[in-house]
Order: sequence, then C-alpha cells, then structure tokens
Amino acid sequence: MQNQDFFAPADLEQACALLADEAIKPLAIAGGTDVMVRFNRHRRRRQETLVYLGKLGLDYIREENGEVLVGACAPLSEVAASALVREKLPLLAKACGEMASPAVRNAGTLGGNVVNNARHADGVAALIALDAEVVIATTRGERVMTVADFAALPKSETLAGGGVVRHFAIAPLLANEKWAWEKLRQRKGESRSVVSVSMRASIDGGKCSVLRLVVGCMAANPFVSQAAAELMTGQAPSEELIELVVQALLTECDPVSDARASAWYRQKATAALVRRVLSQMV
Amino acid sequence: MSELKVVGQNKRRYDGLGHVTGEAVYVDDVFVPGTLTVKVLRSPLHKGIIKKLDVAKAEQLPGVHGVITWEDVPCNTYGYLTLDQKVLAEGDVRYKGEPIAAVAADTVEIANEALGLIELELEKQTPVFDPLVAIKPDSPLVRPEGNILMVGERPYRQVCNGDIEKGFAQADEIIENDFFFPSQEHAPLETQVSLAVPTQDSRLTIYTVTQGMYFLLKQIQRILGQGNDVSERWSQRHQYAHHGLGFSDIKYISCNVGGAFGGKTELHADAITALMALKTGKPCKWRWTREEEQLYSARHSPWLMHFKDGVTKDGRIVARQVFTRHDAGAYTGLSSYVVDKHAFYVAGPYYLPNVEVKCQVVYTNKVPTGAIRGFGVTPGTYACEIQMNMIADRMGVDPWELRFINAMRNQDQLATRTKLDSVYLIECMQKLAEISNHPLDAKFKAMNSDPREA
Amino acid sequence: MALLEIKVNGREHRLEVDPAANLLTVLREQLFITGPKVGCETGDCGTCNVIIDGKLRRACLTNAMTVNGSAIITVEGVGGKGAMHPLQMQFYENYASQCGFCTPGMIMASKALLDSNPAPDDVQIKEALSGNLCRCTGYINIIKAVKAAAKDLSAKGGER
Repeated sequence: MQNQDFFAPADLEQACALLADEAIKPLAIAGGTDVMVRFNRHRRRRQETLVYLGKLGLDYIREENGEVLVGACAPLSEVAASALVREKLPLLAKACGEMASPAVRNAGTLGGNVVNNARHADGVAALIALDAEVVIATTRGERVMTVADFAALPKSETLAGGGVVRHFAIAPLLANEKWAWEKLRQRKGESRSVVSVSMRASIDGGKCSVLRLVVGCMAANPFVSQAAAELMTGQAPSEELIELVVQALLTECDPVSDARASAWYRQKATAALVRRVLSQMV
Repeated sequence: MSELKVVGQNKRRYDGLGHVTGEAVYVDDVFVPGTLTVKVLRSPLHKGIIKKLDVAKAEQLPGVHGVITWEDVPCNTYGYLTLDQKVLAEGDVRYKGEPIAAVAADTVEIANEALGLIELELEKQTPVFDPLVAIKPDSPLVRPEGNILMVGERPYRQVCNGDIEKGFAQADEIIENDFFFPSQEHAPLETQVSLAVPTQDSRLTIYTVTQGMYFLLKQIQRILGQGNDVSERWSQRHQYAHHGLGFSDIKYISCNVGGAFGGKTELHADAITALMALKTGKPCKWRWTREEEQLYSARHSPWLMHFKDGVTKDGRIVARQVFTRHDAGAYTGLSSYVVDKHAFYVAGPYYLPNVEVKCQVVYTNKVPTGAIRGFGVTPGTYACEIQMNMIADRMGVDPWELRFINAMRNQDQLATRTKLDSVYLIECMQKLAEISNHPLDAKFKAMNSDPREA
Repeated sequence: MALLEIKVNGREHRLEVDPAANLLTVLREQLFITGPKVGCETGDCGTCNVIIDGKLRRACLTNAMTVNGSAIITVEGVGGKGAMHPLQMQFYENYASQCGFCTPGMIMASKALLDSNPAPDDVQIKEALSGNLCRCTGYINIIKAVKAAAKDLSAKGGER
C-alpha cells in the first residue's frame, strides 16, 4: 500500500530529493516535538507530505578525527547520557539534560532544536558556546557552516536543496578549560529558558587567555558577547572587571517581554547569571 | 461494643483501582458510534456588535452536519440567579472568547475548517477591564443596566450591625488597608468536555464533567425549551418535531471528573452539545482544547477589599468597616451569590459591636468568573487575617493575643446579627498554642467561650 | 491515509491512519485505548505518557507513522485485574490519586524510571516525574508510592 503523504526514507539522498521537491509540500519531521505541537494546535486537513528522518541512521554519537560528531537525530536524552559527550563536551550534556522533560527528551533532537531555531533554543545556545559546526546534506552536496551562522541565516538559504542536517561537529573541551551552562527557568522541569548563559574560558598564568561567553534569549539568536571577550582577554579576572563586563554585555542585548518574563527582569537575570558564571574564574 | 468497620479505619478510595488501571471512565473516554465533533466560533473581540453572522458556507461544507447560532436556541438566556448570559451571542459580544456559533462535523479537521467559513463581522467597541474604571460614570457599559449590580436600591450588598461612626469615634487608632486577591484559573488536567446523545422517544443523554448536576440540569432544560414531563407528552412527542424537554427527558450522567476545584460548576459545554445533538440527530462531543480551558473557562474572580478598623489602646476592635469589589466579568453567573456569602463572613470570627460590610459586584468585559475552593470566603479570610496582623503590629500587641481579645464567644452576633451558640474559637486557639508550643499568657489560657457579660 | 502496524500492550494492530495523526488520537479514537489522556496536546502535562520500544514518550507529540512497527505500552498494559503491577497497588494503597486523571501518565513515567533505575532516591524520582503535572495531590503520596513500589519490586527479585 503506497502512502503518498508519509515517507520514511532510509537513504539520505532520497530524503534530500523529497525535501527538495516543492510540488509535494514536504515537511521534515524527526522527534516531532515541534511539528506535532503545531499540528495539534491547528487541526486541519493537511496538505504537507511528511518526510520522517528517523530511519536515516543519524542518531550516532562518536569521535572522529579529534572531533565529537553528534547526529542530528540523536534524542536529547541520549546526548545527555552519552559517556563520550559527558567526558568531552560536558556543557552540551548539561544543556541537553535540562531541556524540557524526560519524555520529551526521549524524542526531541538537537537537529530539530537548531532547525526550529526558537529564540529560547538551548541547543542552539550550547552549540554556539562550543563553536560547533553543522553539516548539512543536500541535493547539491554537503554544506558546512557554524551553528551561529546557521541560526542567523534564513532557512531558504541554509537548507536549500532539500537540506537535511546530518550532524554537529564539535571540538572537545580542553583539559584546563573552565565551562559553565546556566539556565534560568521558572521550574526545574519543562521550562523554557528565561535566560541562558554559557561559557568556555581558559586561564593562563592567572590571566584569562580565551573567553567565549554566550547569552541566550536576550536577542533574536543566542550570541557571543564581544564585550566580554574584549574586556577579559589578557586580564586577571576580578570582581571589578566582571562588573564592567556585565554592564557592557547588557548593551549588546535586545530582550523582549513575553509570557515567561519581562525585558526588565531578563536584564536583571542576565546580569546575575553572568556574574555567577564569570565568578568561577576569580 | 463491636469494632468499628469504617469509622477510624484507613479506607482506600473506591475509585482508586480504576485510576491506576486506566479503567476509570472520563467523559472523553466515552465513545458512541457516529459521534460528531463540535467546535465553537468564539468572539475575537472583547466587546462589539455583531453586524453580520452568516453560516451558510459552513453548513455546506461536506462533512458538516449542522451549524447553530442564537436563533437555533429555544431559550438563549440563562443564568444561576440572574438570567443574563447567552448560550450563543445575540446581537453583541461582551468578552473575548464568548461563543457565537457552533458546528458539528465528521472530524475535528472539518469542524475547524467550517469555523473558518463562518462569515462574521463585528463592530469593535471600547471594552473596560479594570473594575475601578468600570464603576466610573463615564466608563464603557458592559451591560445596558450598568456596570454595578444593584441589590434593591443599593449598589452593593450591605450587612451591618451597631453604629459604625460611633464606633470609629470610640477608637484610639484607625487602621486602613487595601487587599488584592488575584484571579486564578483552576487549570484542571481534564478540560471541559461534553457528549450529548439523542436517544429514543426524543430523549437526550448527556455525559458531563459538572460538579453540580442539579445546578445545570435545570438550566439545560430551560435552554432546550422547557417542556412538561414525559407522562403528559408521550404521544405528542412522536407527532411533533420539538416540544421541549421535560426534566425526566434528560439523562444526565456524571463520569469521573479529571479535576474541577469549582471550575466545572458553570454551564460550559453541555447546552451546546445538547443543542447540536438535537439539531443533527447524532451524538455530539465537544472537548475544549487546553487553550480554551485556560483562556475561556470561568476563572476565580479578583477581589479588592478595603478594611478600615477602629481599635482601642488595649487592642479591642470597636469598629470594622469593609468595602469589597468583586469583578464578575461580563455576566453575573454566581457572582450575586458569592458576594452575599463573602459579606456574611469577611469581618471574621471576631466580636465587633459596630460593623459595616458593603460588597459590590462590578461587571467588566472579561470571561465571567466563577467558583473556586472556598468561594468568596477565602479572599475575605486572607484580607481579614492579614489586617489583624497589621493591627497587632501597629498597636504593639501580640498577634495571638489580639485574636484572643477580640474572639467571638457564644451568643455573640455575626455581622448579619445571627447569634452563634457554639463558637469555641478561644478553645481552638488554646489547643493550637499547646500543640505548636506557643507560650500563652495565663489570662488567655483561662479564657473560655462562655457568653460575655452584657 | 497510511498503513500503521504497531503492537500495543502485546497485541498486534494493523490500521489505516491519517499520516498527520498523533499516536494519542490513534490509540484513543481508533483502538479505544483510553488510559492515555488528552490534557494539553503540547507535551507539557504528561497525561498522555506511553512507553514506546522501552522509552517513555508523549503520545500527543508522537506522529503515529513515525513509530510504525514499534511496541507500545499504555497503563492498561502495565497491569490490571488479577495482575496488578506493584506501582498500581502502591498508588492505590498510598492515596496517590484524587481525580485520577494524571495517574496513568504518572504510572508510565514511574515504570520507565524503575525499569532503568530499580532503587531511585527522592531526587531521582522527582526528576523522573518532572514532566508530569498533578493538580490535586501535591505529589507527596505519588513519590511515596513510587518508593514503595521500588521496594516491592526488589523484594520480588527484579523486573516484572
């Protein structure tokens, strides 16, 4: 029995070809935790052809050439529990483990989180903090870019040619790197971030040699704070310096008020989280 | 004496096994072959006049079995004590989410599509949301009779005893405070659901989530066109299309309820499913979405309470004046009842020789409010007890002692002048002090609830 | 329409479904398995919890066709008359339900926990149930019930 409205390709080329075929109105679905919310909210006779990505074998988590490859369709719970991720990318393990709730983490994927690219997306923020690259299969060959670029560009560009995210390629944290993932939310479970702050930093001889501070939910996409990097690099971390960073960082932000928090509150919360995260280095 | 079999024993819930096995039946778990899905078109505006309402295109969509508007309702006005609420909006809309039309279709997808085909034109009007604005003479009117519910000649329910001004004159200190008790949504895990099944002999079976079957059965019967009882109309019913339903023509079945907390006492879904079932001749089920539940089901109203107390140096409250505003939303519902209840109790279990309580129902263009646990009394208790603590603070009296000093005793009167004869508040507080290891002065330990000397 | 083949509580089913349908709708409205409930349809309340191929999932957010070929367990498959699972007995014994609407979902989440962690502490139980809402009980008796069931299961010598 041939079903025209649902495909579960086992072959990446076939998946890309389906998603590139505008005539069938293709819609990619992986865990379904975003797509099905939309479908449930607006129950209509659907015109879309669903293209299920779960049979493509994109759920691997492995090390290759010194990088950790996290498959786009690996469930968040597996990313959070993976021994490899916990060892080499503990920031990512923590971020994934704090998203949504156990049942949703068993279905939701990093690929889905990044493609959906919501303002509050924790997966996007964590991957940007890790300076991750995203590898996309298309009908025109493979496309590679940073997750930061992917989030900023329109999908008509990033996923052109029936794009399917294959995996994220991430360099492991260095042995002496300090890291942090702090997410402010209303409750411990199933709470979208109000604000998130994540960090990778290296200290050399008492001075900060590298700082990558990423703030989430304070702009259209999570962003790397230039102010933090400029102010802290080459300096000995101190409370006074951290205060300067906080004030400068707030000028980089563009918070909105929504159901979870007002812009005013978000600013206060960001300041507190940045202080907390950077104080680790003092 | 034989051992007690039930009293004093730990008894498990009789419905507990059904809960844990999944066998418990909630309304949405009831399936009748051929059931249609009901969806309702709700007002997108807070306040407006209906200029055009045309359902023809919706009716013609294949898969749609019926569409109704207010014209299809035998008696469109209903209510608990005040008959002012509309089953389906008639002429104007008074709150965002107010039902305007209902559709029954083969699937939820078709029903949703049909809603989109209903032609609705609303003339936007200026709504009022804040009760403190609604009471002003230049405020937009929520209803033509005015934004305040009159109780006889007065714009509030009044309950009083003694002489309030004399009482204030006797006081050494006046302590005035405002208290705000915000609105709450019950958010039961099970949303409003209703299944109405037409059965033989023109009767109707309705599966309901209501907490108050008799409250609503009467209203439904009225809405469907009150008829005489079955024994009088047996033969007539088969000959004529619709004679209205008598009380015994509606079989009202309560299923397990998935949480209510007061939020399932209003007529939310049963009248509309009943009307659709009668219109289409088929079983009709309406399950509210989570969004509808959170936004449009009755919520607990916000209360604004003003306390003005006259207190003597030794901590006696000689005068208590309370003014309460209760925000009813767009229709009266249970509001007239709850302000009475509130007025009777808000002054607290205290001996108040001079007391004046005024409690006002204000209308706003919001979802009509309803019951929640402790309906009317909880907001009052909250305000009263915090006021007591604030008095204690101001007067430099211990909060426990303040309550002992002012506690009601047997033969004291409530604000309603009802004499109470088994109060025992003092004894309760003594016991409470004992079990919480709170030290009490000997004179309070010696107190009791015997009637006070004249 | 699409052809869905799934095993539910040990029984094979072959049925036609709307490709866009969620599993919760298919279970309830086509198979009349009503243990999993409709609470929110956004994956937030947990009343629709089921176990698919050994993993706790939200039936409301699971596109039915994406689990074609899978084995699904609902509360009805955890136990029933004459063969109650310790979780069910302990929920019943410990007054862990009031209206009962959250109970099937709570039991599924608890089962998923005990299947992978037979001796959870309070923190782990709370984390496992962090995706389940209850508007009635205040959760304390539910946690008690899960702990008691864990004890029962270890006394019985393991998996059931």
